Amino acid sequence: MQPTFSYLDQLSGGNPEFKKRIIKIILNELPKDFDLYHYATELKNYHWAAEIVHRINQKIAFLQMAESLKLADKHENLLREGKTTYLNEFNEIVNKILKFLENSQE
Amino acid sequence: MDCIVLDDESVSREIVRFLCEKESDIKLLESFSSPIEAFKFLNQRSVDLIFLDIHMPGFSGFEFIQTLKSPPLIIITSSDIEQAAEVFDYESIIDFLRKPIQPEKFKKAVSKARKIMEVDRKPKDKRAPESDTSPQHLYINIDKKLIKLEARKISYIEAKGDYISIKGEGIDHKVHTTLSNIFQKLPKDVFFQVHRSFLINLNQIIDIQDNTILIDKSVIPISRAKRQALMEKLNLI
Repeated sequence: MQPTFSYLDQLSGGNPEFKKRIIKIILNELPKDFDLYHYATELKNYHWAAEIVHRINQKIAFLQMAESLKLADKHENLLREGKTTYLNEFNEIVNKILKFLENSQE
Repeated sequence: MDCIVLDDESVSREIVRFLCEKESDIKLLESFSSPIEAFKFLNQRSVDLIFLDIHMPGFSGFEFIQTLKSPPLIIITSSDIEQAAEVFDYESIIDFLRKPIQPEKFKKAVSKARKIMEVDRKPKDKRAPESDTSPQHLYINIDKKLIKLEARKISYIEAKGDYISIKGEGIDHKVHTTLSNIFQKLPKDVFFQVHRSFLINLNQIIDIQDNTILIDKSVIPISRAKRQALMEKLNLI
């Protein structure tokens, strides 16, 4: 599933500055959150990792990735139980978003 | 309407800010990522409305509401739809907006807040007042015992979820009823609702400062909507 700006486009109602501001915030925060998430999983502190996934999931929701969001929600819940079933899938989702956002800046 | 937003997620805060800017009568005073900072702010001044996230690290939105002595109107913003049912436990919550927030749903929620504020602001009937026939005492049911309370001895009554707390001279009772229910039983010329959660005995006011009233040893908030009506009730020089 590909990310889109359709929600931000609808929300901003043709205000490019607002859309740019939101993309800038996500681009600034998502890599930091993703690094922190990796650190938490390395430490096997899955509760902490789940909290970070919860934050990241909101960003996934802004980019209208319904199926990815479902999987990420499952990942968050499983992490709270100490299970890492969807580590790889979640990494793919976030990498896809980062690539999409970086490309949108070009 | 003066409001704040409390959400640990910065994009969500920006979106609420952006949507508030489109509503001419909404003034977003501050955005907070930390409940502690929001709590400190609310200790300094009152607001009409809070946009509140539920899921925050270390402190949930519901816990935040419980720390507030007299919560203003609250619109919950959350991606956790499972927690929606819990909003019914809080009188102050007027709507639940699922993230990502849809602009039309935001408008509806704000309109609901506006209507509630308008009802609070409605001027009292200006016709000649009817003689007050409210009894000067009332009975409350505590542990299957009916206890007589003299209205003049009640200092104030506070709504706390599904019960009220009655305080006064030798009075400290919790009763399972609503503020509006007990208000009907009290002398209208003596008691006045200064806030959604507070009824006060006008004869027991010690002083009024900014948006608070001192009664007995308690500080009672005055809602912005009620302040003018309260001033009209007082014997001001």
